[in-house]
Order: sequence, then C-alpha cells, then structure tokens
Amino acid sequence: MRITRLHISQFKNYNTLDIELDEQMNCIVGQNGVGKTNLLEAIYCLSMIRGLFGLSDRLLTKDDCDWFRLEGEYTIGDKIKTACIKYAIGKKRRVSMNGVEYEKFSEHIGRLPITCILPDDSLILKESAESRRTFMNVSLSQLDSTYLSSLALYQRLLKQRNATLKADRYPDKTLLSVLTQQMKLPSQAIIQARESFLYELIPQAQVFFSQLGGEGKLDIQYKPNTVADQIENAHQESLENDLRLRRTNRGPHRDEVEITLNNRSLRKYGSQGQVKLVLICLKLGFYSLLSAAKSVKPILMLDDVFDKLDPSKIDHLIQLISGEQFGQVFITDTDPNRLKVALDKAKTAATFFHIDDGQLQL
Amino acid sequence: MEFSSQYIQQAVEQLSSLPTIGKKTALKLALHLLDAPSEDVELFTKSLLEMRANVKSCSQCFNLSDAEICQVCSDTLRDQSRICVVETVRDVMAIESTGQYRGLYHVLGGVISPLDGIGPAELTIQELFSRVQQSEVKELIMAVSPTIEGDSTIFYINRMMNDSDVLVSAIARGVSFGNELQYADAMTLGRSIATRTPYDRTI
Repeated sequence: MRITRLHISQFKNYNTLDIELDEQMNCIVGQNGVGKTNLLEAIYCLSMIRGLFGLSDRLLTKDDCDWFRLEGEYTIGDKIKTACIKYAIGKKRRVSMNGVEYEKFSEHIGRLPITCILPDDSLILKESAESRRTFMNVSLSQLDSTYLSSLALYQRLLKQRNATLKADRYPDKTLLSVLTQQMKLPSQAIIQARESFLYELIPQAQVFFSQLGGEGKLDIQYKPNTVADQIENAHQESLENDLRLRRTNRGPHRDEVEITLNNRSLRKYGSQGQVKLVLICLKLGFYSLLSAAKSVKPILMLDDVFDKLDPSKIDHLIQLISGEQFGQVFITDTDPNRLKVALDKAKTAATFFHIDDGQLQL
Repeated sequence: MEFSSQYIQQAVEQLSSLPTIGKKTALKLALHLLDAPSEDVELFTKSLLEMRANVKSCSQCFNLSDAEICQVCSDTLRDQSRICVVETVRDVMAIESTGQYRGLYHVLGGVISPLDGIGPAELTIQELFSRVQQSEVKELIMAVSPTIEGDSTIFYINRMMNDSDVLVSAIARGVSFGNELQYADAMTLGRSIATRTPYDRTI
C-alpha cells in the first residue's frame, strides 16, 4: 500500500501543500520546528483519524484558521483510493473514502494500515504500565476491529462501577455485582486479544533485535492482572478492597507488560540506546503483524529515529527497512547528510523533501 | 432585537425560553397572539395554567395522570398480569400509539448511571418491586434504551426478581422493520443474528 499524493489545507503549520510522494523511501529534512513531524502527522491522521499526540481537532487546525482538510491518494494493490478528512470549528469532523462518508470512524481504522515510531515512544518502555497498555490498545485497534468496541464498553462500565463505589457510604452491592457481570465478557475479550497479540509480537521483535545488532536476550512478558477465566473470582475476592479504596482494583485496566534484556528489567536498567532499540523492534514487530493481517505492506514512519542510536545501528536499520519486507517509508531528520550517507551505504534510492516553515523548498 | 413595547419584549423572552423556539419564532408567535381574539388567548393561557395545576404523576405507575391513579392503571379491561417498564412518559405514549400492547406500564424516570449520579434509589425501582409483590404480575417487559446503562438497568431488575416467579423479558433488538438488511450497522446485525428467534414465534 502506498500514499502517492498528499494534499494539506490549514493543518498544523501548513497553509496549503500538495505533494507527490515517492513509492519507496521519502526523506523529510529541515531544521527544528519547520513542520517535518506535522507532515507525518497529516498522513497518520488520514489512517487513524487522530493526531499523533492526542490533540483535539481544534489544535490540529492552523492558528487563526477555522477549518482544515486532508486528502490522500492511495494505491492498494491495483486499486486507487482517496481518503479525506474535513474539520470545521464547531462541527464534527467528516471522514470519507472515495467520496463516501463513514458513519462510524471505527470502520475506517485499519483500512489504511500504518506504523510510526516517534521519539516520545521511548516512554512506552520507561513510564508507567499505562503507556504499555496504550501501546497494546492502539496497536490492536488496527489489527482487530472488535477490540475497540470491547475496550470502549469495558471502559464505560469501569467508570460506572467506580462511580458506584464512590457515590455512597454503603454502595449498592447488587448494582456492583450487576456491573461486574456486565464487565466479564469485554474483560475476557481484551485479555485474550492482548495475550495473542504479544504472543505473536515477541518472536518478531526478537528477530529484529538480532538483525539490528542488539546484544543479549530480549523478552516480553504479558502480566495480566487477572487471567481471563478467573475474572469473576478476582472481582469477588477484591470486593472488600474495592469498597475500602472506592475503586476497582482488578481487571485488564491494571494489566502490565514486562520487558527484559538478559532477564533484567529494561524499564529500570536499560540505557537510552537500548530502550530506543527495543522500541524500534517492538514497532517493527507490530508492522509485521499488521502486514500479515491486512495482506498489504503498511506505511512506515520514522520520526527523528536516529537520535540516540550509534552509526552502525543506523546503517542496520536503513538496510532493514529498504528490504523486501517493508514498503513505503517516511523518515524525518534534521541532518540530510547523515541520512544520505546511510542510504548510500544501503544502496537505497530516495526522494528528499526539504521543508522550511510549512513550505516545500524545491 | 429591540421592540417598541416592553410587553412584547417580555412575551418574546418567555416564548423563546421554550425548547426549540428561537427569538424570531418567538416574535412570530407573540405577534400571532397579539392579533388573535382575546377570548382565544385567554383560553390558551388558561389551558396552560390548568395543565400545570392539575397534571400529576400516577401513584402506581408514574405515568402522567389527571387523577391519583391514571387511566391505564384504572382500566380493568387491560391485562393486569403484564407490566411494561419504560424510562420516560414519552415512551408510554410511543408504545400506546402502536395499539399493540394492552397491559400496564411502569415509568422508571431514567436508567441507572452512577456516573451521572443516578443509582437505583433515584429511580422508581423500589416502587416497582412493591407493585410486583402486591399484585398478580407474571411478566415484566423491559422496554428501555439499548445502551450500556439500559442493559445495567435490565440486569439489575432481573437480579432483584430472581427469587420471584415473575418473568423478566426485554423487547427485541435488531434490524428495524421495512429497512434493508445491508444498511443495518454491523453491531445491530451481529446482535440480531446472535439473538435470532424461531420463525414459528414470529407469526
């Protein structure tokens, strides 16, 4: 799958931009703050209907403007498709494919598969368990369309259950047990989906880890707060605790993922370079799963990815993503020369886009 | 808008406080009332005042009523063994207008949603239980919105009825009548297949 043309109007720092894209390697270069990442964000938004950092549509709109529009032309197999997102302040955003508007945005997610690696993504490995759950949630939303609806249902019921626990001095126990019972099916669906996702991801990530010159044994372990078939018992056992602490203590919202390098926690002992490398392997692993699930090569975006990597790993990475397994790639960097050298070593042809202040320099 | 009369101003302000009525429509209505014969306007205001003073909620089913007990509850020809449980009085009107149902009603006043501060105690659930205990009711037909909170409400009432012989049923959810299957959304269609009914029962 490829995006062949991108048209941007009043998005982030871009006024208008209309560019033809390279089918393989696209290098977006320029100084800090000129809009390299914003260009990636426009492409990401066309796939995921959200920005890279969870900003509201209002904040994705260019300053002093009251609407934005993104349009992308895609080649999928032998078909040409046009995706379009429109937003105007005070109105709901509208998403269409080949001119047909979606009623539910969830129908669009996963149709234009995409994987991106951002500098901030290292936090997935460094910060709290919540960021690792978010990684699983965002990944699974592209892989499995029913996952999103289970997750939304679970989160809503969890809020209702917590509100019940907080509402009164003596919460209604029948209501608690009703809500707990309603949470059972979505909980099980979430746990099973995460389990099989990580089960498939681990070997992929390990292969990339050794291909990119990583040293040591990389391991990922899913630690569900409760196993799927024990969910009812778990809630029953923690009822006293729940009542005392006035919140729900068991369930997939407390799941953890432990990542180790040579049996030592990466979160606690990993160096910045190791963390970055493992993150890239996780994301490329996800790329492989997505590629297999959709039977197309998704778009791959690397934002400022060379930061904190030593030159030999950069060479390995460029070599790898130029290979058969990957399709269209977008890379941003402040230093065009560093990128050129690495690409030349890998004998990879690429198109360079020089960006300056929201405009393309030819 | 500026008016030459403070009385018109006042009337327009009051009318535009009604839902879906904007300033322009309010002015149109006010001018219409100004032109109408004064007896008509008196009848108009009188009927509003009388409605406000006399309509109360039925002490049994919480539907709107002129008397202590509403017309539906006091109609002995209706099937006393079935109660249709709904969220609001508007749902009663909707079901009555189908002409398909000849049982009784019970208006809950909403659905359970602790997030919005609505627990079972804020609804008329306790009153429903006492009603069921004191009468010959055999079936509760739950006709609440097909939402997460609606489901919690059905679940809750079903749980409370566990010990009794009362059957708790819920209205069918699925592809709407007269619509084409291909236009139904995936969730509705999926549920329709999961909760399909034997054809013998649909004739």
